[in-house]
Amino acid sequence: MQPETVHNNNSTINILKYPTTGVLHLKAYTAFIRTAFLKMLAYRMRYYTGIFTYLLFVSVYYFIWQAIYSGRAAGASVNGFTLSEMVTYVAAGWIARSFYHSNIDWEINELVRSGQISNFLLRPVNLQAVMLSQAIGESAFRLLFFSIPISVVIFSLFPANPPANLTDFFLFFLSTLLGFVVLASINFCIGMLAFSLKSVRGVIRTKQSLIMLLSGLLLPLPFFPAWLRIALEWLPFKAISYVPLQFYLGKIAAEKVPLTLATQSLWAIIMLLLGQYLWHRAIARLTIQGG
Amino acid sequence: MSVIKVNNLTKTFYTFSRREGITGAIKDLFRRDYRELVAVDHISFEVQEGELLGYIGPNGAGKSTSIKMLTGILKPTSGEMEVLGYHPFNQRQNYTRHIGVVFGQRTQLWWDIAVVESFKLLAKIYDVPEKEYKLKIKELSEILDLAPLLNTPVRKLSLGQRIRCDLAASLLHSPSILFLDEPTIGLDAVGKDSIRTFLREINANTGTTIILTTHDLKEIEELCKRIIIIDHGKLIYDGGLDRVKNLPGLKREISIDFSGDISAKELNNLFGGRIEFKQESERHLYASFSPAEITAVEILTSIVGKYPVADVSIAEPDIEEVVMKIYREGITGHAA
Repeated sequence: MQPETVHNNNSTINILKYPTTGVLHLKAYTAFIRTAFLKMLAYRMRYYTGIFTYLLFVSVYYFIWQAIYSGRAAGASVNGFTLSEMVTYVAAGWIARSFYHSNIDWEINELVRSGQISNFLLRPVNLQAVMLSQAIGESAFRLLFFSIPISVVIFSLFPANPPANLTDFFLFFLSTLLGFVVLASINFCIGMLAFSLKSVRGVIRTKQSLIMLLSGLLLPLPFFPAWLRIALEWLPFKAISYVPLQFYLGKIAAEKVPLTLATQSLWAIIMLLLGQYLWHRAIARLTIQGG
Repeated sequence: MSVIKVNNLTKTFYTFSRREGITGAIKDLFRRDYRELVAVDHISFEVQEGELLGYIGPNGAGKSTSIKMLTGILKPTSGEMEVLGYHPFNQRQNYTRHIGVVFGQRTQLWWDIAVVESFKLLAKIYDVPEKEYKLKIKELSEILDLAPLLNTPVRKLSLGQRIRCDLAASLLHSPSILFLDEPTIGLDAVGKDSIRTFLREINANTGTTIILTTHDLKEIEELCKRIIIIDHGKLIYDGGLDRVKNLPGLKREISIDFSGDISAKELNNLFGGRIEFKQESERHLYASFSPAEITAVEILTSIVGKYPVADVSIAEPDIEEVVMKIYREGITGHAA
């Protein structure tokens, strides 16, 4: 049979068959979340050793803070934190990190390096939304199989306190979710560098250490020199760790809660938009490796 | 109805050449030596619905760059294109719902998860209804023999198995156009054959337009009626395959094994120099001839009667040779 002569009615173009609207296809992104979760589940053994790494970090900072506070009266506070609050800050901070951490920048770097980035360009999806969905799937896995066991170990070994009430806990959780989005969208922006730089390995490593410091994970903001503290008040990083931990410790007055959450959300939106902008700039200049 | 319209499509890459040595590296820091590379150079053509078009050319001719622009991955430098009514790059997200793409060199599936999980994910991405998805998987599994592969992770598949899965994946959402970039590269003869049969069926049964790039002239011959040849980014031929194959002066080669000793000289005399015989060994010769002057059948009937022929194989001219020929002699026959 000659292909050209086959023009039956079934071969009308499929444009009419599927919607062509530009709306977010939630079903697709839920599928990405699910797949990322399943993938993590397949590699779950890898995470059991991670529990010890986190335990080590918490121990080190626990002993450092104990040394700093030693020689002071019990219950004395430094920069507004008592030793007990400081230990709680460290413990809750690392537990939260075990949840909000994401590797989006690294994954984009790998996709660009291997040329697999074209797989996403050939699909009716938005890369940023895909990356965010995958990070959600991974963090959901972490919450269940990583953060919870870590919490059990840390709270049974160190004198860290739970939040004073359920509201504080709820606000901490909500704020950590926003922090997750801020970090994920910063990571997406870093990943965009992979298009112009040949390798972002070094950049990613530097960023990881900087985020630990600037987010307030290693040191609460009041401990920084004045100029840096003021700068950090106006930067997005504190939304990742410091702000959620202030909620945890009940240090944010009730009337300031809406503004604090709104500022975090605003940072999340700004970073997401910046990511979209960088993405559009990057694909316009893209040359796919190989093939 | 034309589904692809391309007009003066051009893609220019800017690369910079690194200078040698330490002093060169330092110079590069201040002033880079940029070079312009026109990968696709003012190409224009149209494709009708249901066509099976061969898009061919030697390595580095601009085939892949063209395909990348047509599939919306790459932004054209200049020129117009419209595929299924969309601008592939500017309307990428909506456009890609209607096309399927297979790169022979690179899988479109998720490496770590089972094939069927990739399929499920794709069905969700393309919003294929559950019922239609099940039907499609069943149909494709039968033709492509996928059943034993569905629960294997992609990284554990062989090349042939992977290509079959990739083909199935590209058709799940019933695309109107299928782009295939070297789909049979690296496959054995049986593998190549089953893929070709499958493509012919898809094209005939569903009317899917297929654009195929390949190195393999035999593949083109089996599948395509119309071909576009590009070289150095320029379109040098657009038309039927027959005209290309019968280009005057294009040599074809027959390899002949004899069961007894034979001399090239003797055979050269037999055909009065119309065929050039090359002696490979006492019992093995190559005959190279121009199909416009004499056919393979004529040659073989003349020889078989007189000499003890053991085995024969006919080699098609390869694509590089065809392109070189057209390029040198410029019979650019743009079939309207």
